[in-house]
Amino acid sequence: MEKYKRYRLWIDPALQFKYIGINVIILLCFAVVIGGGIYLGIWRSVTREFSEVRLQEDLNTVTRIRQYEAARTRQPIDAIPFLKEDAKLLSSHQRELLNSIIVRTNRNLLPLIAGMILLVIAASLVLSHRFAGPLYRIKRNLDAVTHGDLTTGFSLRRKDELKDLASEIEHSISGFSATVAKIKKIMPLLKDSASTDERNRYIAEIEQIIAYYKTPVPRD
Amino acid sequence: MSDAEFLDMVARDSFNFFVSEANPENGLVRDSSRGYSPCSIASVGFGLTALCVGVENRWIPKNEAYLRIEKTLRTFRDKIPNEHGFFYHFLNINSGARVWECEISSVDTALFLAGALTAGEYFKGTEIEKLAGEIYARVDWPWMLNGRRLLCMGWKPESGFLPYYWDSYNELMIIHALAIGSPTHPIAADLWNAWGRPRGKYGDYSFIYCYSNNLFVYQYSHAWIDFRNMRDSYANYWDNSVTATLVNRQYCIEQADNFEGFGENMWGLTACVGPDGYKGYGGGPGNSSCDGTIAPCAAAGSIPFAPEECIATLRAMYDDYGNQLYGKYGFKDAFNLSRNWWANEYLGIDQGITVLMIENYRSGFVWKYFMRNPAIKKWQSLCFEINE
Repeated sequence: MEKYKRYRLWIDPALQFKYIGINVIILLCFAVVIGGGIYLGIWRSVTREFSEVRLQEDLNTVTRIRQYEAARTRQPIDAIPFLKEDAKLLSSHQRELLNSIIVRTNRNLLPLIAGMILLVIAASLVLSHRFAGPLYRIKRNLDAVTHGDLTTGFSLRRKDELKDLASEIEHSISGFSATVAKIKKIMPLLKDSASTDERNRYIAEIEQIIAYYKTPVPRD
Repeated sequence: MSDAEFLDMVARDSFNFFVSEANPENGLVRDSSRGYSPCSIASVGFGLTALCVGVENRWIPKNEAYLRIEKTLRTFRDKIPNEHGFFYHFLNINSGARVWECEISSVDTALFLAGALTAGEYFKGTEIEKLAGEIYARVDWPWMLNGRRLLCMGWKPESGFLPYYWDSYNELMIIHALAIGSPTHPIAADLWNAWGRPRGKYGDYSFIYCYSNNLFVYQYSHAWIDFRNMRDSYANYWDNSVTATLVNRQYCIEQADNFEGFGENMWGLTACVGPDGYKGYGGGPGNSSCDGTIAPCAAAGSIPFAPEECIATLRAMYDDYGNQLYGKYGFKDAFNLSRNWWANEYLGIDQGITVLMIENYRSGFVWKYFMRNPAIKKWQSLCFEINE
């Protein structure tokens, strides 16, 4: 496995930069939308609800409610317990407010997150086609080559990736096909050759053709 | 401007509180015009009746009022938390959730129900009547007795029943009317006799009084119940409220040397906002308090009892102090000339009593519809002699 370890980070910088850029843009959009949703949902609400004006109004309201109670029950208001009760009510109301802000934000964020996930899935699907399509055609053509069919070609779409690879493979197959075609052309001549010299000449031609290819040394 | 035109202007402007300070999504009405004010269910109750008054006076299209009322009642039937059918006093204006750890309130639930049932009678045969009936039928009045012969003022989940009971004359009559008349969970009719009716004197006046003598206690039940020809074993409560109104006025006349502006056409002590916060101001026998703060809704809420005195007072307030005291929802809550203080807010319950009592004075509209309700007829037959 050691001999297959990659030492270079940038194998095809143009391709790698392109798809890193696309992923970063998608993730940035995700972060902006979700982050913006959280900011607008929580922070802006918090600053509004807990602003000095709001706190003052809340204090007025809790005071007013205590005064209603006192007027209704005809009980005098004892200042110190009154203030302590106000503070307790105020802090529990602030907890209520914060809780309602978070619940509201979560409720608003869920469809946003769901939408963003769908968008990422859709974008990934579209992008993956640009790899999956060419890979499928390459595999199919190599399968055909494995079964002896050297006539297949590649037709990729304008926006497909791996065009260079496909072109290289096509070039290799067509070279190999031309080689096989040469051998096929010589074979009937070899079979029909009348003299040993002519036969040896054809064999030497074939040997020259196949000497071009390196093959693994068979293990005994 | 004639008196009729003046009253129409005041009533219409006060009515606008219940349109503009209501959440159109759920029908909840703010307690006050102040920012961030929660909903008060008493405000909602006054508002439900005010909307019917508004239709009758063509201040709001009937269809719009119907939709608002229906939405409000659906909210209360389906979404607002309740305990044995009783509601929390204050609610979040958007969510309807309980706020400020307030209490389940018997009187505010009663004021809400009075408004709902009036709307039900006005829109008889519609979904509104059905919704109002369902909400009313759900209330378990005996539960609020807490095993006693008096209705409790409220309950909190944290501490149980409040230590205060409706034990003496005040705004409790509307609660008892609804409790005794309930078609599903009534309290015993004889509990009408369980609360105290202390008699007091002020000058030549003798009447059943409330210790605080806030004028609103003599008005709220009368906003819906027509006591004019009714008498129980103790009193005619209409006559009693007439006397209480005249006492309140007389007290202010006699305090003219102590408080700036007090006089024959400048009076009205009730629970309202004041320079030192919301207080129960009053005048007469008992332990009422006064610091010079006058509330226009005191006179407005007593127009049916003493129309000449009350209308003259409201007109004087408008003519002399209209710039500081009158605004988009009619009269602001209160003022204090001795301390040069003017309220900058309106309270739903005070605008509400203004609308309802002006209309009762003009046409008896609210009484006509509320008194038709079978539950009220039941209570009437059990507790009163009726003089036709």
